[in-house]
Amino acid sequence: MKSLKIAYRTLLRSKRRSALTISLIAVGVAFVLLFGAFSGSFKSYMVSQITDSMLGHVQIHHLGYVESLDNMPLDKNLKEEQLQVIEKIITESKSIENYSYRLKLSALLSNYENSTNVRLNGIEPESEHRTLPLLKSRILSGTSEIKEGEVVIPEVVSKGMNLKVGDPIVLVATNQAGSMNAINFKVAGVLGIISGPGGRDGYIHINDARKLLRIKGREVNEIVLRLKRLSELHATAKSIKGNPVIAQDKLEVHTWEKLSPFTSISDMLDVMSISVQFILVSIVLISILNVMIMSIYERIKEIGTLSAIGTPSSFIASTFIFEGIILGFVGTIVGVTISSLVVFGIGDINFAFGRQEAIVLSPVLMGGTVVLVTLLVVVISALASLYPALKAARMNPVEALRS
Amino acid sequence: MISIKQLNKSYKVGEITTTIIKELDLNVDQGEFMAIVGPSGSGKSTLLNLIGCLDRPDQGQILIDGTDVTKLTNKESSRFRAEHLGFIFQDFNLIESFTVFENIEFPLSTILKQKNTRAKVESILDAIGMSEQIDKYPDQLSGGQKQRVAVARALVVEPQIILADEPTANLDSLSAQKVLELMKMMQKKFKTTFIFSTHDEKIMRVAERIVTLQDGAIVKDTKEMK
Repeated sequence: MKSLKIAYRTLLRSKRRSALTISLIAVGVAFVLLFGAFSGSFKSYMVSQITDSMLGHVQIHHLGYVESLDNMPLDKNLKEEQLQVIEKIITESKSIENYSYRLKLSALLSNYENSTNVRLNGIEPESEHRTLPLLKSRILSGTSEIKEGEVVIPEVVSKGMNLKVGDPIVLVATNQAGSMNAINFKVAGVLGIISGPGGRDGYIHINDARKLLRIKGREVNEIVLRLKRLSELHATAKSIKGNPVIAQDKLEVHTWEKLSPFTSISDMLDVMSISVQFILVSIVLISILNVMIMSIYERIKEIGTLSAIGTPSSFIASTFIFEGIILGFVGTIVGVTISSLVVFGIGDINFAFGRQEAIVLSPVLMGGTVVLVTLLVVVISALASLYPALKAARMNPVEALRS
Repeated sequence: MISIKQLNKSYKVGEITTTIIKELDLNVDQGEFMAIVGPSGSGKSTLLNLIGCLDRPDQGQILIDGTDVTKLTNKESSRFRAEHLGFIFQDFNLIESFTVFENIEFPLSTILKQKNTRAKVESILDAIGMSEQIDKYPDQLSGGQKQRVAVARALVVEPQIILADEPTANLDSLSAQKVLELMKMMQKKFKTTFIFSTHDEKIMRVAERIVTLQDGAIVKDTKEMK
């Protein structure tokens, strides 16, 4: 432990230089942790909004439905026999918490003066709310607890058509056979829009959707699943996909990641996070290497003396490696402290992302990330010290003493 | 104790090869207090470095108590230095981040892995009259005090030979006198062989043997004259 003592005291001897190096590392660490805290919070907020108020975690459709979603096809509906098979799979799965059926359709909405096209989800309100617990939070006025004869319209339609809760409207839809049908509805609520597919859809009761499309029986075209734990997403999706009945019945299973464009933003954030970590590694590497090489030139005579009196090369090398590790470790502690103070000081942040307003970020420092960054910095510090340490250990004592 | 035979050492700088030590033969007995003198560039420091296993000769043999130190590997010569040799430098070369106690104790505890070293260090500090400075750092000491600590560091491992390169060159005359007396006292107490390179006439006066080097060869040896 003498080499640790020498390393520690050497750093204390050059207080200003040590402080500067520690500050550089601390800023780098703080930057990585804060970026991780904010981007992580943004990601989890967005994922929770997307999955808990719109897409669910996993969706099951007839093969080819998602590809032609823009046309809202009615020839790819899931029939009663298929639903029975899927229900069996769902109820047997231990990782699925809830599920909901949807009958999606495109309709013409008229307020008797003007009309516009809307995409609607025919839902069973109770199961839809169990599957999407944040759906209610998107309601700007009225309710999402729709009854038959009621419609929840998206905010854009409400503003564009000047519709309020309680106003009467007519929905006109064309069924698979090509015949049109119109039913009167009352606006029960106005829904805030959200980024991604289905973020601007309205809602009606599934029985009304069947009436509009003149469908008899339990036909649906989308099954939304909510998992007990999001961490089981891929395993569950894989397990459902792997079921021979699913493959035989030409069904497709998609995770929310495959359905939402936010996945690319999320992936981009991950790439940025790696880039920021790469910058941190570079800062640590260059700072430590620089300070260690300076330390060697300053202590060249001391190295020569230690070598002359018979100190093993490994001991000499270890003093420099410890110097690097101390700088890295202290820099990380300072960086973590700064990050914690910033996260604690700022608290929740409200901001808008695209057309989505009032996004609330609650950044938190993840214990795992802190440990990972600490290990990364300490390992890089040790590696950065290795070259100067070996240089010092291999130094010719005569030349060192002559300097 | 030390037997040097046909020692040659040259350095190559660019295309020019300069011979520093030329076919040198020298025998030193245990407990001798010997000074190596000569003009600058005569090979004094190089000879000390070769005896001290810090450098390797081009040719020749250096036997220390029967061990040919020119044949040792780097690791072996490092161990040999730690166990058998002590060094005193012109610039004292104490470890600045260590206290007086830690500087003296370092070779014992860290290099030779000895335990319970405190009594030994305190005893040697007492012998050199530095007990009150035990917790001071080198930058809190005068030049003479630093060199006394350096002498103590060299002596604490009880080496057979102490090699000192111009040990009084950076000291005022009073400090130089004190350091010399200390070394002489230690020589008598521990029967240690002291070999100095020096220009200092005071050392020459107290030396029991003076070897004069010129152009890498011994031109005068007071022992042989006797």
